[in-house]
Amino acid sequence: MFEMVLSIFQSSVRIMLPLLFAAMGVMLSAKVGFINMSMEGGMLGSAFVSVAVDMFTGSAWIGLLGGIVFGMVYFLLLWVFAIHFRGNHVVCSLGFNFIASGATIVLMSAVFGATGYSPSVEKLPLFMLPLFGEQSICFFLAIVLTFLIIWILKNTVFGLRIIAIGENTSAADSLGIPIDRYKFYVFLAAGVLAGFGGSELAIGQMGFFANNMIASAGFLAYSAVVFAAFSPSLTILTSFFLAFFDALQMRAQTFMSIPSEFLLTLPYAVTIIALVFMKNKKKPGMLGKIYERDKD
Amino acid sequence: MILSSILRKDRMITFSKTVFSVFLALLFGSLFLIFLEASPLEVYGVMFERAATSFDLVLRRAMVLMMSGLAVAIPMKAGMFNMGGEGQIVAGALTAAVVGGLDLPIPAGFHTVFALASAAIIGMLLSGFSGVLSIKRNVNEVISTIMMNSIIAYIATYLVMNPFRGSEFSPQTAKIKDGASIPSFFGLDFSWALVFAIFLCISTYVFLERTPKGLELKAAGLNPVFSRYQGIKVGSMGLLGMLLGGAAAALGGAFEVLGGSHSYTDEYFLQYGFDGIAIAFMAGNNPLGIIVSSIFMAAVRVGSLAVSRRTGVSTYFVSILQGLIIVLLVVPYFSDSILAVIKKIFCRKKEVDHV
Repeated sequence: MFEMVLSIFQSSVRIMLPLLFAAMGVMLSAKVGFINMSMEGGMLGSAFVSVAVDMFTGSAWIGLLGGIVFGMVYFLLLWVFAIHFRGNHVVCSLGFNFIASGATIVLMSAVFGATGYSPSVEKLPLFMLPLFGEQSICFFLAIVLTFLIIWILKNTVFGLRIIAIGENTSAADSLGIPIDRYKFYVFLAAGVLAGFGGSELAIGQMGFFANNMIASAGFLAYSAVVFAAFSPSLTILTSFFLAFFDALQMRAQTFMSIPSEFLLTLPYAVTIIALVFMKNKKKPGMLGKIYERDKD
Repeated sequence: MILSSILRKDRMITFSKTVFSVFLALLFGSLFLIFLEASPLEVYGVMFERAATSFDLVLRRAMVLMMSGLAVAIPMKAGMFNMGGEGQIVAGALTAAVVGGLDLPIPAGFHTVFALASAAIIGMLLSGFSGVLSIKRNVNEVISTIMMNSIIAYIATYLVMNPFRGSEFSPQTAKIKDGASIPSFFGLDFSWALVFAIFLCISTYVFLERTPKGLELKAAGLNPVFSRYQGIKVGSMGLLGMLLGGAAAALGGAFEVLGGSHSYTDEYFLQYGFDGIAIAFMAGNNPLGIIVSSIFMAAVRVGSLAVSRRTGVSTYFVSILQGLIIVLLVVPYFSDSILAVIKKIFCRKKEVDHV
């Protein structure tokens, strides 16, 4: 019994890592007022690039770097459309998701010469930890990055300005904070996080790329942030909570007689139920609003 | 009079901007093709040649896509974003296949109507669920409909594989009864449902533009705060939009099952719901525009099958085009700034002529 609980806990942590990276990106974007539903596409693209770079260079480290660089480029482009050209946040995000999911499938045969699954590539170094089991290097990076983000948001001028922009953009603007530039920094950070999330899944855990391998994790990450009422530290708990149900359904498939299709719906159903019981009151004041400075 | 209101000047400007954005998307898409070492001219040539030669297939697909576009456009008018077309189409199609396969002692035509009605009700239940969550509990409807898509896809797979399985060899339901099918359009590859779908688009246009309820629905979407002061129930208008959208998507799936494939196959309707988003955006959420944009999207889809066979570029190239079209259309400043540059060039030329 204890061993089973431990193994469910360990696989929850593994599933949580990409989710936590993505959720941190979504949370940071929400703090500057951007509804980030594009983690899905960013992670998918990063996963693809990290596997491709890993395959051509033979080094998982360069693969990770490639994934991060792609994530940054992806969110840079999204910044151009959604912030610089003032597009609708949700629609721009979803459009970018379409492009990423289409492009990875189209490029699949050209890059890997295969359809559906890429060949296996070298994985990031794994560590055997007490309690947490076998985790990739991203486990430590996730801890460091998460607490760094929480510390920056709470204790630095930079972080407080980010929060100020999300709460009341015109007030922040009138104080002389360069709004678009701050959003640019946040988008870059979100891109780095998407890169970590996608690469961790592809070359940290799986060791290959599969079509649509992110499977709505980007949207689960968004839900985790809403479920945590946009609190950075609670986001860790909620992403673990959602990952736990995914791990649970995987285990339940082996010993329960419920059809696997019903168990597979569990993480999505839990997400909806969790959001139903969440009062969405603490969201940043300018979330989803397109800011334009008054002309006069 | 209706014609003159359709051809208003602002609509023509919107139309030309849409065409321009689609053109830009095709242009960006061809950069991608060059990267793949495929000739853009050949790919687009094959795409539209194939679409032109099998135009009845295009129309058959456009019928479903039209409804899928309405499923996005009507809720959008009421201020809601229905991403759940994908799941609602599957639910409607499966319901129609199951109800159409029942042995019912009713006349032929009524069986069809019964199957369509039950599909529409299932669709309304699904979209209404997300609508109620959004209005009552403030759950973002984009998230809840996306989650519902995954849930419905898994449940549909289970239902087709187990209780409703009608074929030993493939995951599909039994063939529907003859009495439930929609007759083919003069022996062509599409059914009379296409006429009905176009009729539904036109009546949606009339509903939104010419009836008080439609006006209230649009007002609730355009300016919720002001509408509330006018006594419009913004929440119920949003819910009405979602209900109509869900019914439209489910009917789209049911049309294809009853009039085209005559049974539901697992994963048959992949991407149909997401196509609806691009279609609604291209039409500027105008139901009449949806008729045109759904035929365009269906042509691209049908053509892409030939492209993947002949040049090896995956059909998912269409997803890239759709993403580009959506992003370019929703970012007004982008196409505006390019148009402004073009205008500048033209104006400079004129000045030179004057001198």
